Amino acid sequence: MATDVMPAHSETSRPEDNYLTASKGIMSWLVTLDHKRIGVMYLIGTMTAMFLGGFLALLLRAEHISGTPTFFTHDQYNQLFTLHGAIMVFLFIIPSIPAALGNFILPVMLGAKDVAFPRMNLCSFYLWVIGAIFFICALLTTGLDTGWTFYTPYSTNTSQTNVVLATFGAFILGFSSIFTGLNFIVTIHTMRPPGMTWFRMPLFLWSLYATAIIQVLATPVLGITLLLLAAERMFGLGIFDPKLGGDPVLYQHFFWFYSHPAVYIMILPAMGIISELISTFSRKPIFGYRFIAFSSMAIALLGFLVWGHHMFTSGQSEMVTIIFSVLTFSVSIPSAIKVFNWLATMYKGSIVLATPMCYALSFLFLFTIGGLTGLFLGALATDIHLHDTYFVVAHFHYVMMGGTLVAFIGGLFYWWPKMTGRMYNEFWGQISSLIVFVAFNLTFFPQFVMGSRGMPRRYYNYLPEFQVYHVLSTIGAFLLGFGLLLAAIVLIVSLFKGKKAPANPWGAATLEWQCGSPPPLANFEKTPTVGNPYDMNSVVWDPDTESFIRRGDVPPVTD
Amino acid sequence: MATAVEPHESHEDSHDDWHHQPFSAHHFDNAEQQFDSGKLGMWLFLVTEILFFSGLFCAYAVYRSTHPEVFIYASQFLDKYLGGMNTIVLIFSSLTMAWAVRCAQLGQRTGLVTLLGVTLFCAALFLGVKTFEYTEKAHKRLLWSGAFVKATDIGKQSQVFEVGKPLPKAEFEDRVMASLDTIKKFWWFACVIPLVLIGIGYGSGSRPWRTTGFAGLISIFGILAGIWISIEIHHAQHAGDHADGHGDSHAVAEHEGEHAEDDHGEHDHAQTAEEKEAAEIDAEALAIQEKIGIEASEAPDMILGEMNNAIPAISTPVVTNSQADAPRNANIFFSIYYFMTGLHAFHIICGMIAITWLMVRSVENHFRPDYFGPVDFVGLYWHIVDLIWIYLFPLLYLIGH
Amino acid sequence: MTQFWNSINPFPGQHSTFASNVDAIFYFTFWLSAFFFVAIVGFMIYFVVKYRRIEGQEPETSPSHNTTIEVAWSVIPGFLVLGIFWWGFTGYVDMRSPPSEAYEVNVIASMWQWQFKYPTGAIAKELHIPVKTPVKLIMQSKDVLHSLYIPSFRTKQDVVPGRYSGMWFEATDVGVYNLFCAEYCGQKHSDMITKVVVHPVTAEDATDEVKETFDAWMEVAADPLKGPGGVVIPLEEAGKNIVEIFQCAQCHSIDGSKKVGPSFKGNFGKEVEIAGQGKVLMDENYIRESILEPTAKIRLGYEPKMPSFKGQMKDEWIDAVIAYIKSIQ
Repeated sequence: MATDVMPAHSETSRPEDNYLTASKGIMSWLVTLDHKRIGVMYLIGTMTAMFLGGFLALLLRAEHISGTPTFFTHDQYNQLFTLHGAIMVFLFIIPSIPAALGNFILPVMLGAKDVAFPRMNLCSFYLWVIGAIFFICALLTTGLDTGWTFYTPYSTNTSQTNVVLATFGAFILGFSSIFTGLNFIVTIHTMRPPGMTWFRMPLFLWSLYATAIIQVLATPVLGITLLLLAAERMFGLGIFDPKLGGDPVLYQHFFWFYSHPAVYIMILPAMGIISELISTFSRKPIFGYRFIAFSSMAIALLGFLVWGHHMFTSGQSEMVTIIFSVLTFSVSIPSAIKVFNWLATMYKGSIVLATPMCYALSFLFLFTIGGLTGLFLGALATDIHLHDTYFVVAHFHYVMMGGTLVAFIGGLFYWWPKMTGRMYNEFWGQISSLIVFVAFNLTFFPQFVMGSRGMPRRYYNYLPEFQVYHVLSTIGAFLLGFGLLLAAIVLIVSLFKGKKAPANPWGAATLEWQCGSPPPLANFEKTPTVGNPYDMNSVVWDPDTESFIRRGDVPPVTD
Repeated sequence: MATAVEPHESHEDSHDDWHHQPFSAHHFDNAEQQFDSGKLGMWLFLVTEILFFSGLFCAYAVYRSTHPEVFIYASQFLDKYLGGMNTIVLIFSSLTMAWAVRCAQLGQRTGLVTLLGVTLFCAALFLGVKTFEYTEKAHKRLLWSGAFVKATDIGKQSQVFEVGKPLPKAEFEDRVMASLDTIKKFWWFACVIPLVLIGIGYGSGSRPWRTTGFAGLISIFGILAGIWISIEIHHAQHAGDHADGHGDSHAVAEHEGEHAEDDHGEHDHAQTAEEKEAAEIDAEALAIQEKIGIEASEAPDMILGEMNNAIPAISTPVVTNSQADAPRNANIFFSIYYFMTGLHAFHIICGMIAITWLMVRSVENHFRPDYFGPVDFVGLYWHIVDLIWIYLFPLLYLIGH
Repeated sequence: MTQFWNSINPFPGQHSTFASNVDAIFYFTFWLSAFFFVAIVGFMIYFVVKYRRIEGQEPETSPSHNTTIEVAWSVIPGFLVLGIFWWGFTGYVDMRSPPSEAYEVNVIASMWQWQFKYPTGAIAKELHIPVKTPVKLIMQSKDVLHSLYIPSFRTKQDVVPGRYSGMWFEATDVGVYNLFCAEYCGQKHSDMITKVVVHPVTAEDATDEVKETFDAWMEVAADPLKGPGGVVIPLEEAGKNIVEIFQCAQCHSIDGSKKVGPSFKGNFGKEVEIAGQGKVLMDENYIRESILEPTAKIRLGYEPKMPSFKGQMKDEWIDAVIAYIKSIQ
């Protein structure tokens, strides 16, 4: 599988030139300790998971073409939405940006030779694979019909599906995530080269750092929750089972204590990518660097205090509900700061609508909708009405898919030349971003309307008055699937037909563009010059190499 | 564990001396950076460990506040002397571990190996005591909530439990007996593995095999010693409680006694009946013990034999601890008890594996004053495991005492 | 005009005392969000057009930060969202503070049906309530989590097994509205839908949709053996009502097809096979026993899933059910 991404490098004189060609054979990939190769393997894995999850989503939408049974039975439908959610959350969104892009980019961007613990990094990847195998086993044996949240007592007492298998899968994936996060924190703390101060770190690294903190602090709680759940189901532990004196709402507290911060594990790195993209393609230093960096940290910390807003109708005490509501609003501020700062970065810039920038602008549009609709759900009185309806479904898809997935694809297009050494077809890249943008809105905007009209989520059948919205959404979903497939095709075709990529095609000033494309095995042939990561004046277009190069006459700016 | 120890790779380029040393990883600039990374990584790992347990402490806090009567009632069945002894053992092992780190820093190989061995022995001792406690509780049917239920529909739904009455002769008790029998047979077998390892070690001249073998032996004897000490403590307490003084479910009797003295006059009858039954069991146990005529300390297999006798025979389940006056859902306490201590015991086992690994490496003379990271990191881990127990002990054992 | 408004209004009609407040918060937040959204996207498009890259032309330098502006756009949205919070909070407190004189209905949720029990002893599968009267629901679940959701009333509350959950509302208009289960509860979650019937209190408030007053409905509901006006109805018909109230049709078909339980049709008076006990005659005694002690004799090929209706079904009601089963053979 790993060999697909190795472009034929017949023209290179020295095969040890870069990390892709340094050693050959499938084993050299499977046991590699190189963060770049691990990143590429993660990329292949998470993309596979995404297309699997997306396929399930299309089946779901197909079922909703009518309000009566269409293609699937009750049980099949319930398994489809559960596995769609579980695969997308645990196998794709959480590892996608940190583990795939982050693993590849973080050490290079930082100017380090590798992450601090390369073996742990590889171990993290294999834990991901094992966790994925558990999920696939659950899918192939009995399926899973509890919803990705595994709410008790349905998951422990009633469900006839293989909950324990999936639970262990999620447990193992949790450790994969912890290891990645731990590695990143240590790398950023101890592996910075001379001159790379905290406030010279690119914002993508700040966002990965904030993400890693959440991964390390929140995931263990999920781990213990899932262990308790498995023990409950296998032995009748009784902690969550009302019949044995337990409390099912306690499970929800435990679960959301992880799963709400997990939302920020998903979105924070996406915000980091957008910071890089907007600044590079506006050819402007990012506006308000420190505000963006600190807002990442603020989101990471506030993210731990708002889990109860998933439970406004669950029967937790009124006082708790009110406290969680006010804290929830507090977390909207750092996100707003970021959006305003990104806009201000574009002001008086030199904006080029390259494919990654198209995705970044889609992100701004979609994430703004996603973020603003969060206000309706944070306000108690309106949440009571909107909770567990399609409004929530639309809201989190705007944030998770319109936000994270779109930023992920943008970042992938951005770093693709660095990762593979190939340029993709710019025109078709832009077309794909346009299709994704339009189709996304067509899919999820109708869901806001039907949600506020009272369409509950996770419904197999629905009342006829909702049909028009469902049909629109289904058409959008298939179009969206096509758009994503097109993006994938553009990238894959580039591997075979793409031009050779220069070291710095975009004119970014961060360190990863100072090494070759693809990077050599040890990342840098000579020690990189660490300066202001957003000092675009330090690089100029060089028509000879068709690349941006560092300008000799500009002294490195010290903050 | 958290260190990235890589085999040395020969690089032609101008690396400094540090890169030519055996356990230096190529992607670090110097030894200090490698050590700092490892240490920070370990601390972060310990943070995740604490958060892992914090979920359970939360569950504890929630149920302690919503069901205080359950905790006061049920904690009386835990033996604070056994728990206390385990606490002392663990604190002592933390001392030896810290001392071992110091030895590694000073390059004292013999001291390092010896102290690691002592730490390992203490860890095993702890597990031995825990084994006795679990077995004893299982026999008294002091188990988690779902253990008192029956499967509604054997077959398809066999994992799904529903509340039912305690079964007169529950299946799980047979399992406990069976598992004890297994231990009885197994301990010889368990000794065989390390002995074989030692044999291979000497035969092939491989020190790592040999060291692993010795570490295994230390662990097995530690566990057996823990079981033996538990039985002794158990007997000693019982001798204080009753004139006829031999092991049985004293905690139950004690509890019953308290109730009888306090206000439940009607329990007198039940109590006498139970004591009579207990005395019979004692006599039986004593008879077997005398018949065999061997002191427990002399032969480890007899320890296990005696342990079975020290606990009431399986045919007379001690459900007489009056389910009637137990608060509703009392078993939620044992759910929490088993889960927390079980998870802690799992961490002890992981620690024992890590210490064995350290022993192998220190016998190989890997650690030197400029490279002792792994010892330091495992030491930190061991202190955290110790610390968690220091919280668990009062929270579980000392309620209402 | 009203019709036009309804067709673009994102909400179902407002039919409870909470609805107008909830919608007001919604629209306030909506217009505020719309303002910010239009501003953000507007600036974005404007910048993209105005500052597009021109070859060979470097951008003019502009400040890379401006603390005053940044603090301003952190603090001002902060106050705005606190305003939204405050409004939502007060609305929520109303929803969670039932008036003391509220009319109480017990709700029992189970997979996948709702059952409503009234102080008069009446049992219904739809929620019938009087208009303009505060109603308090005391809810319990027999199995897993459910959530009672009435979009037209803008209210929702999870039903948690092992405890009572409460909610209240006051319907403002006579009519029939949807009632959903909003918390995923297994296989037929999406079929756990029923209706709320808001009855007029006096006859002059009656509409075409709901003609009966609440008291008139209650009179019939409290005694399924009687029809409107206290008229005694035929026993089979009463049995049909009872079968409907207890939602027997969830598991027992009336057309002979096999569901979770055996069909009502085509078995009466015949020998049926009992798991492990040979054959018995399906007669009045068998039906009665099956209702009161369902696990005593399990039909071969079926699972012991039926709950007991002991204490719920009165003797005369059982007679009616038997009569009904006989009538559909």
